[in-house]
Amino acid sequence: MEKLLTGKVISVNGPIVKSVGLSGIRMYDIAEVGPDRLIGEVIRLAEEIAIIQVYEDNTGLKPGDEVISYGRPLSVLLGPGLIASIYDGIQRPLVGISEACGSYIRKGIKLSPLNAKAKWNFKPLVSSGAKVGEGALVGEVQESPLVLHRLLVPPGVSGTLTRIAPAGSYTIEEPIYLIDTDAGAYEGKLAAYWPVRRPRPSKTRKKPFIPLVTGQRVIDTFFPIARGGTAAIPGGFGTGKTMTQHALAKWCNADIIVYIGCGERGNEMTDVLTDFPKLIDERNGRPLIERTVMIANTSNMPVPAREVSIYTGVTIAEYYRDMGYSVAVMADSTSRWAEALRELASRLGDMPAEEGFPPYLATRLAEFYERAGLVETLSGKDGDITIIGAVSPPGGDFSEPVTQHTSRFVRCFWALDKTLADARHYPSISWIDSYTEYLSDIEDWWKNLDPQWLTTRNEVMNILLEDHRLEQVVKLVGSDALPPAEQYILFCAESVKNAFLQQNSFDPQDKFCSPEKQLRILASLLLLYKKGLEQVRAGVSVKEIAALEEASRLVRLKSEISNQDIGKIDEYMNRLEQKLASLSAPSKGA
Amino acid sequence: MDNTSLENSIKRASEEMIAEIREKEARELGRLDEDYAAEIERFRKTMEAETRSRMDQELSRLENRAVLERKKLKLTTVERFIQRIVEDVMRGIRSHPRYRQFLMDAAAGAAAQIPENVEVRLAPDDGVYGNEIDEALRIAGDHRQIRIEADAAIGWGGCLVVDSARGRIFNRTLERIYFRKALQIRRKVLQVLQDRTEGKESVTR
Amino acid sequence: MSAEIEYTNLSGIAGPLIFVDGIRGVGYGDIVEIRDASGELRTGQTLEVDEQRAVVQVYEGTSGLSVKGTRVTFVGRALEIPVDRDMLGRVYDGLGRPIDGAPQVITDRMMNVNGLPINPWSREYPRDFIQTGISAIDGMNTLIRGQKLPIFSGSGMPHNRIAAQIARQARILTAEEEFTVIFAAMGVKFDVARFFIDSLEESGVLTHSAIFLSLADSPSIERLVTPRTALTLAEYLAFEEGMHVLVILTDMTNYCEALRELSSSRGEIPSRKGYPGYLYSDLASVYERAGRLKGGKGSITQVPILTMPSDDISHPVPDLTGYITEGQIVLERALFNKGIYPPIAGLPSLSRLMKDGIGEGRTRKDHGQVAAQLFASYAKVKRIRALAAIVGEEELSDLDKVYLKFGTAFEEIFLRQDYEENRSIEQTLDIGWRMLSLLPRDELYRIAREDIQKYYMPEAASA
Repeated sequence: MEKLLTGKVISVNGPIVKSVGLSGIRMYDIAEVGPDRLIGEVIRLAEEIAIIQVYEDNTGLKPGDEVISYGRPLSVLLGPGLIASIYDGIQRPLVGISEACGSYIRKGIKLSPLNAKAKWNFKPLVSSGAKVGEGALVGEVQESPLVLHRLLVPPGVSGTLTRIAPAGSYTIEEPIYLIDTDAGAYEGKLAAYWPVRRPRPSKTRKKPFIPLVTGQRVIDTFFPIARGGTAAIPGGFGTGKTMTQHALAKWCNADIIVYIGCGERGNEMTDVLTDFPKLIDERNGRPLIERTVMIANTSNMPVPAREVSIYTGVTIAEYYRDMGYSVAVMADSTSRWAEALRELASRLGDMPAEEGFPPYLATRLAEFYERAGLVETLSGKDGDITIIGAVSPPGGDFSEPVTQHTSRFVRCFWALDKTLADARHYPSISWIDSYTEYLSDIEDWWKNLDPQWLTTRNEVMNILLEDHRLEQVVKLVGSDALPPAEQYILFCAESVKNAFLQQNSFDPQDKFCSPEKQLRILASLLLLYKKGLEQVRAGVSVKEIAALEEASRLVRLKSEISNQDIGKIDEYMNRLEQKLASLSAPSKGA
Repeated sequence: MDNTSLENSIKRASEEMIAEIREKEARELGRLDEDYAAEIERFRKTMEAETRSRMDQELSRLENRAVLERKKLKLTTVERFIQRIVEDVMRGIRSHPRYRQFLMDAAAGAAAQIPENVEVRLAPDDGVYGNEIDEALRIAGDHRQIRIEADAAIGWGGCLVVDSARGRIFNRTLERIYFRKALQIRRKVLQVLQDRTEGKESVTR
Repeated sequence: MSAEIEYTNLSGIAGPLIFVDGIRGVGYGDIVEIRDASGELRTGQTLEVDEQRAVVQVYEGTSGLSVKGTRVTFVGRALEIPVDRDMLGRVYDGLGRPIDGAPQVITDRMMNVNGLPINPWSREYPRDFIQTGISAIDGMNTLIRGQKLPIFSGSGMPHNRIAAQIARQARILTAEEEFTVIFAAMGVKFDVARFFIDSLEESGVLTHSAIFLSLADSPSIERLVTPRTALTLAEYLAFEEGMHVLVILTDMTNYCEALRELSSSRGEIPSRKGYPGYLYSDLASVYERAGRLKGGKGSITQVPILTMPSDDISHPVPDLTGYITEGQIVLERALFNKGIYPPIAGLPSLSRLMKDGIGEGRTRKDHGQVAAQLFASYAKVKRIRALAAIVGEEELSDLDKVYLKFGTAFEEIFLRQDYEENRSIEQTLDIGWRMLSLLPRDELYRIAREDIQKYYMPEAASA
């Protein structure tokens, strides 16, 4: 395996380098190119020519320069120390790079993804002599206060444990256990490599049934996603894709977050980097960074590394899933990934399909989203990966190829709306164009909190849909021309938008809304709608109801009542009901 | 009815009215005057402000220009000085004891990389070296053909060695060598100049 | 020392490209010197190399070049420009060579114009508010030091005046520091450049500004390198000399057109509207050269200007720009036709970094909510106007009519201001409150009660 292959460069076209002489090299093997030993990956083989995509800036590379390969596939190093790290697309640690070469990323720099000197407190959980299969739990390490890192026998390895290290401190390079397998002895350490492009195996796939609680009302209540599900956030620029992704990464109740900044802005990653260590997770009082792994391949970093970054991210996610965790992967933005694919395909001279994208775009997207799911892991535990991918359609046009293909492979579609964003209604998730297929999957979970959940949700949704229909009429004749009952629907829909859908991610009370609080506000809205409508039908004017202090108070519930104080909403509802009841219609004839 | 009293009362009434109108007029006029004065004052102030800002603008324009022109002048002077030194040096370079060897080496070094026909182009003033180069190349390699040409485009010296079969020209003219080194040379000269001025200043002080 | 080699085998010239055969050992991205028969020098760069041939883009264009008699030298390094504090006050071409009649500054610092990607971990998140004195920007689309905030304009609209006004008035509230201005013009007419130079001169900042010109009559390919040379000097001044640099790039649409031209000369597969598929990455390599560095003093703030062909914001150039920059200032034809300067569109304009640069201790506590409320209320005005166009203004409800009044006042008093008028952030917010006070108190649902108590003054508004 560790045989050194050498060849030479014969042509350079951007990051695509052709080489000859690497006989015996395989697809997706790593090749190091030129005097700076730039990292590349073999992406095509044609007779004696190996085509390599180079993950670093390769200006200055010459035909005739040397190429070497150890015949190893491009891999991710998995082990304790991933949490709270920030990597580039090929898992080079950005903090380390900055310490080694300052503020800019110089080419040719090579650093181990994990700190080889750090000592981890290992606790063995099996003893020597035990039969262990793939995925078997061998021991554990407290990786961060939030993450207990479970050391598992890697896929493909099974046999008798002949040695295991006693409890104590070890680096990732020290031998921890020895397994006698059919193929010989296997020496396990705290960390191991796994090829980025190969999904990690699991026992069986299961149907998702628990919602990923995000604390974002429009998502949790109206367009929920299940743990192990897939979602896309398409939206033109300025519609708040990244803000939505950030909010989800901050407040969703996954155990681990893998945040992939793929071809996006540098300052946005900086924002995550400065925010997450400071933000405290209400559920456990710990900084959010302690459950987060970040991959940052910003738009000005080499394009091919952008292509591989999402695989790097999802492989890390699978690693934690295998330990039995619930992992959420945020990929921002899959369009930039698709564009990287297009750029490389074009340099390879591939025949383009729609809008210059290669014909295999759909397959690649499908493969990526397929790595999500709730599974029974090799160790027998449940683990899941939820993938939430932002999509940046050119011109905000959802009919473009990436959005179209993505919508085929995700079951949750959070369409961002330019008009809402322009009015600074955030999150600008459209309640008309969005959809979810997880409602029935997760209904039981919500029913534990409120048996009426789905009905209530649907009734409020109907107000919004009715409002949407009426808006078309209003555009033509004005709202005064509508009958009072319909005017009242418009009024209630406005309340739903302002009091429920709209959420301020910078407001300490509002940024995370617990499911219980969501249910209460929803109930208040439904109360306003139902009781109010009765009164309107009885002749009370919409204006009178709108003038009630309780009616305008609804908008402020989200920011004035904390998740712990939701009893206050019940009190409020009593008052609202009384006030509504106290209104009386003017006597007939007046 | 007493006509006079009626007349009087009419007169009085009209006089009162007239007085009232006059008074009103005077008031109105006064106000107009005031308005007018205020308007003038306002106008004067805007004009003043405008003129002041105009003057400020012109002043900063002048200041800017002065600073920049001085900066540019300094650079131009230094540049001219460097130019003169370089030209002086280049004019005398042929009489430099190592020039002949430099030329021979340049031609031979380039020709060694050309397997076939070789053409060596020299400055017209370097014609005297033609035969010597020709001879040296014949001894050194087995080129099919060797041609020595005068090239008026070469002024300072050095040579061009042409490999027409491969479309290559080996450029070893002094012009090109200077062009490649110009930045370093300018830096050096400036350094020397600065050292001198600083030295002198410290002496005069 | 061996002689340098000039290659004379050109196998073709196409658009801004030349194809050189029989080469050896030429690096990808290397700088190239091209001399025509008369000895005139042009500069280029390799785009593709194999064992035999190099594809070279010529920055000065290929006009007048022929396959015979052209000599090509591969210099063996990337394009570099000298950088020095003393370069300020001067005018350069797109490749950084002085064109104001005096020679280049003599310095030993040379920097690669392509720069290097900034490590996201080494960035400092921008938070310092820049007061531009323009209410529409300061109040609602705040510019932050280290931000990249483009102006999306249309032909004939006053984007250059706005940029010049920003360059002249920009101030940091927390410290008395002045901006260094670097101005790069791509494919614009000379009078535009003249206007900027005059404006910088009048405000006395020309001596600490640098100007890079690749005007309409220069070869289009030179536009591709112009923003990069300008940003290279900016990076030096900001990150090595600790200065605060404001970079104005105009017009990025011309830049993109040059890229399209180059791409089509190379026979590449186009994506939208003939632009190459890598337009996004290419633009990012320009726009991302803004920001601040951890532990560093200086900053680069970018204000790129681009004209949207037929005012179409979904055109690839504004579209991809908007995906990279941290917001956008959009100019609106309708406001412009009403004679409102600056015609900054209320709704599509956005500053993504605003949230962290405003508020208590930075601008004023109520700033964020005032801006949010102005946006929301103005959005409502737009809806009501659309309705009024159909049903007639008389048919509107009383509240709707109040909104229309607010809308007009917002445009005429808040947005509209003089080219010379420099409003403090206090003034801007006060005007904002005067506008909001035209609306009933209950309509201000985005603002905290105590701020309404403090600033809402319906009497003053109606006066």
